Amino acid sequence: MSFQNLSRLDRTIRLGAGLLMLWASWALEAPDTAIWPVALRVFAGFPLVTGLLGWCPVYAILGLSTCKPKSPPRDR
Amino acid sequence: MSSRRSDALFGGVTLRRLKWIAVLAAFGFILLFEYVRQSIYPSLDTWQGRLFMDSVIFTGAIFFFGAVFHLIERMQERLEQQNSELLALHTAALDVYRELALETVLQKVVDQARSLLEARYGALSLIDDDNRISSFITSGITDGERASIGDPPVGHGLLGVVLREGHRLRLQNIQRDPRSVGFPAHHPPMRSLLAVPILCGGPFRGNLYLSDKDDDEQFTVDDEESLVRFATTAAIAIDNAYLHRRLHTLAVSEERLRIAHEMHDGLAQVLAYVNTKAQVVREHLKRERTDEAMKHLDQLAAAAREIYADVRESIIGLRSAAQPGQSATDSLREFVATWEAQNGIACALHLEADLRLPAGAELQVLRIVQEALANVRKHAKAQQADVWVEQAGDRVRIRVHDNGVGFTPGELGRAEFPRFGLSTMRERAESVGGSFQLESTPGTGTRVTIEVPTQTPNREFSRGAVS
Repeated sequence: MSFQNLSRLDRTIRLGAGLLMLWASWALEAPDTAIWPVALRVFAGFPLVTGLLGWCPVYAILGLSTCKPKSPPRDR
Repeated sequence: MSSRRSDALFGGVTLRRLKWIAVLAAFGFILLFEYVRQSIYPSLDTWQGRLFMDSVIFTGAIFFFGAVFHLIERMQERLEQQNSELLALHTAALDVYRELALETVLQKVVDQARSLLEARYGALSLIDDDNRISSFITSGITDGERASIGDPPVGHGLLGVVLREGHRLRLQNIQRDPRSVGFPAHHPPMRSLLAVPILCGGPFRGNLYLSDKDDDEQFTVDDEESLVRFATTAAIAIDNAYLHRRLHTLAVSEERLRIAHEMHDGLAQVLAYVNTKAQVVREHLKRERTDEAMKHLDQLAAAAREIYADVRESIIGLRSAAQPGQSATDSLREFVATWEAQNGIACALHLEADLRLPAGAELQVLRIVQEALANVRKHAKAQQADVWVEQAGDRVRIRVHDNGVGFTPGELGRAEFPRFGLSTMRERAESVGGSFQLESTPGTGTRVTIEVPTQTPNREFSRGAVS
C-alpha cells in the first residue's frame, strides 16, 4: 500500500491553490482588523502541506484516493 | 509477496521517527495556534474570530485523526499480508509434511518454495562431505532442458558461494556478479537469484535456490525472509523423511531376521520330517513293500513342494516390501499381482483407502496379508481371493476373503508339521497396536480381518516397531 493518496494533478492543483491563497492574503488590501488575510495564510497551509506530502487526511478518513489503482496481488 | 514490506508505516518513515514527528507536529500546532490568536487578537471574541479559531482546531484534528486512521489501516493491511504469507507457508509446509519418502520430500520442497515465492525456476542441492554438490534437484525446468544442459553443477560460481559460506544470497542480476562463472550451453536465461541454506539436525546438508520471479520483479527482503522460514520448515520435513527411511531400514532388517528365523524353524521341521520319512521309506524298501514306500515318497515330494512354495512366497514378500521410497499400497498391489500370477488363483485388490501407516506397521500389515494369502494357497482350495483395504475411523481395516472350503477355527487339527501362520498373524497385528480376527465356517470360505491404527499410538509402539 502506497502512503500517498493524491495524484500528480491533484497535488499540482493543491499547491497552486495554496500559493494563490498565500499571494492573495498579502496582495489584496484589507483593514488591519480583518480576519480573512490571516485565515487565508493559515488555510493555505492545508493545500500546501497536502500537496507537498501527496497525502490528504480527509481522503484518508473517507478512504478516497486520486492515485491510479495498483493491480491487485495474485492469489497464491 | 511481490510487494516490498518494510518497517516504514507512513511513507518512508519508521514508527520511531514518527513518534518524534508527532511531538514536533504538536509543538508546531501550538505555535500556529498562538500565531493565529495573536494575529486576530482584537477580533478574537467576535463570531468571525471564534469561527476561525474553531476552523483551525478542526483542521488540526482532521490531520491528527487522518494520520491515526492511516496508520491503523496500514497496520491492518500489513497483518493481513503477513497472515496470507503465513497461510501460504503453512499450506506449503503441510504439503511437504504429508510425504515421507525422502526423494519425494526433496522434490516437494523445491516445488513448494518456487510456488510460494512465485519464482520461475527452483533448485535444491545436496552437499556431500567434501562440500561438493552430490545431487541437484530442479523445478521449473523440463526433463528435455535438463538433459540438454548436461551434467549437474558441482558448486563453482555463485552456487558454490552459498555452499562454502553457508549464508543467504540475494542478487538482482546473476551475470553482473563478479563471482558468477556464467551458464553452461542450453541453460535457460536467469537473472535474479535468491539462495538460502537448509540447516537440518540430521545428516542432510543442502541449499535452496530460486531464480526469476514470475512477474519479473526482484526478490525482496521479505521474499528472503519467507524463504528462510520455509527452509526451516523444510529442514524438519527432511529430517523426518531421513528418520522415516532409517526406521524403514531398521524395520526391514528386523523383519528379515524374523523371517530368517521362521524359515529356519520351518525348514528344520521339514528336514526332520524328510529324515523320518526317508527312514520309513528305507525300512519299507528293505522289506520290499514298494507300494508303502511309494506312498511315503509322494508325501515327501508334497512336503518338499510346499516348503518350496513357502520359501518362494517369502522371497516375493521380502522383495515387494523392501523397496525404499515405494508406498505400502504399491507394495501390496505388486505382491497381489505376483501372487495371483504364480498361484493361478484369482485375487482382486479393493483399495477403498490409502494404506498409509507408520513404517513398522506397514511392513507388519504386508506380512499379515502375505501370510493370509499363503494360507489360501495351502489350505483353502479357493478359486477367488479378495483383499480389501478400508478406512475405519482412525484405523485402516484390511480384509482377506476367499471362497474356499473353510474350516471350524475351534477344531483346527494338528498338521503334520507345525503351522505358525495364525498365531504369527495375531502377534504381528498386536505388535503395531492392531487387532486380528479370523472367521470361517466349512463351505463358506475364510475371512481374515485386521485393523491397524493410522497413527503411532504411543512411544511404546514406536519402540516396538523397530525392536
